[in-house]
Amino acid sequence: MTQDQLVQISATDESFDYWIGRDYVSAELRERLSEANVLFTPYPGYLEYEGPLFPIETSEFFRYLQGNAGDGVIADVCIEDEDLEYLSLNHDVLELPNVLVKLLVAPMLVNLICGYILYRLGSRIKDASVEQELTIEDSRTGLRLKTKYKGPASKYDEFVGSIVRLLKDGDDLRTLAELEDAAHEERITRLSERRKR
Amino acid sequence: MADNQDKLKRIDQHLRSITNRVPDNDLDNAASQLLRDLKDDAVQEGDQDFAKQMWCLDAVKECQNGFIKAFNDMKRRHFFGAWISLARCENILANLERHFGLDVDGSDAYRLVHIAKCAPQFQRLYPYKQFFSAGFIVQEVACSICGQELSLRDSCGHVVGEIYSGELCGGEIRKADLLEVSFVENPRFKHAVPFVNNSVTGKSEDHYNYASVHYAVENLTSPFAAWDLIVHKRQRLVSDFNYVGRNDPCPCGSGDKFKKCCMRKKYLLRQHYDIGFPDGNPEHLPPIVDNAIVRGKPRYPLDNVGASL
Repeated sequence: MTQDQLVQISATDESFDYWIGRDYVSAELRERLSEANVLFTPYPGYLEYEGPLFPIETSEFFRYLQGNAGDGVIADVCIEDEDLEYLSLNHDVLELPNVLVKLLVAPMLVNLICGYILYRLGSRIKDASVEQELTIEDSRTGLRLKTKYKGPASKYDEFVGSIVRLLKDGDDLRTLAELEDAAHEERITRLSERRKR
Repeated sequence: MADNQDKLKRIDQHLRSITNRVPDNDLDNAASQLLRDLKDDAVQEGDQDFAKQMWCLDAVKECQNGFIKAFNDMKRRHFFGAWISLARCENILANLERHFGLDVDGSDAYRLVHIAKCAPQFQRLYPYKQFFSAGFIVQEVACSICGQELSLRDSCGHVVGEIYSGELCGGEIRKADLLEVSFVENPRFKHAVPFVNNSVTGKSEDHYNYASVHYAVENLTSPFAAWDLIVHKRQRLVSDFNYVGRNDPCPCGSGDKFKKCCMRKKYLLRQHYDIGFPDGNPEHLPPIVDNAIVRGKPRYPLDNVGASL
């Protein structure tokens, strides 16, 4: 499977301010969310249902983050508790909530997501699939990239993690095209190194 | 305490004897009662670890019994019932893996490793490829341990999937709206198998061809006999499939109509199951093409199963 098939990368305007300013976020919650550097964002609806929805996995994943994240990670969910509604589908895909993350803590978050995938799936990680949108906001360059991953649970880190690491380490990456080129090169390098071993 | 250790030892022996034990409901009920007693004592004494261990041993027993039931159901051609039992075993194993491990003493003493290997092998042989999938919007979920509504920011403290006082914590959906029903190939809950309705009787009918499952199970003398399954694609002459109608699904498994897929080709690639019986005797294996084992007239002959030793 190629990177293109598993991860779609696109630029997005959906910033922290965009989500915090949604009409279903109260003033009190807005203040709280403005502290966050990891923000769970809702699906804009499903089929004809138009309200904000989160995958059924959201609360368990949120609690996992609260219990395992270090001090630097401040995670929150872009909805009031009483307005929270979940989307539950009967397909065997681990659907993680969409997350908007500041680049500074993105590598930590990816490690936590990988830990959570392993915690939830155990040995099923070999066969199971994961779906998630992770948007990374780089305040240095103003670049905001949405990665949409749908693929094997065991390859999440290889694909999404490598993009996050490239962004974090690649000071010269200013555009989406540059990132895509770099991600492609990094994958080829890693594959050839693996083959040499 | 010594009494509890003695009870625990008896349960352990009961679970270890699964391979060669004669089915005995009384013995099994006695083991269940022992486990309940031990768990109740542990909960009363506040010994969470011991109560958790009792939950795990109970789950081991349930998994073993479920697998044996599935095997016997398959032998009796109660294939859907067996499918449900296999799915149940799969769920129990996922929880046991997390809390107990499958390989007791490094020797698969409780045969959980065997079940974890063979249950999915049986499932792969099943003809069920599409399942109903209900999409829900869930408004209220409660903790199965304390009954409190699950809240993101005001948690009751119980974690879904963990064990408290010898009970597995789960989310109980209390309020939800059905949004849609669709078909999926990889369901989370495998019970939702579609069956056709007989237009005359109005009753649901099992129209599936279970020849591959039957072939495997007929050659096993016990649920705990070893066997292997390798699934691969094998090249076949398209002329071998002259019994397939133009508008029927293509035998290659693409999901397209035969006429729009491989009908005009010389060869097609068809999924092939190689089943290995390390303990079996090739002379006793039934012929590879065996239509007689299917109830009613099969749509397709059993031509995609082979045996290897």
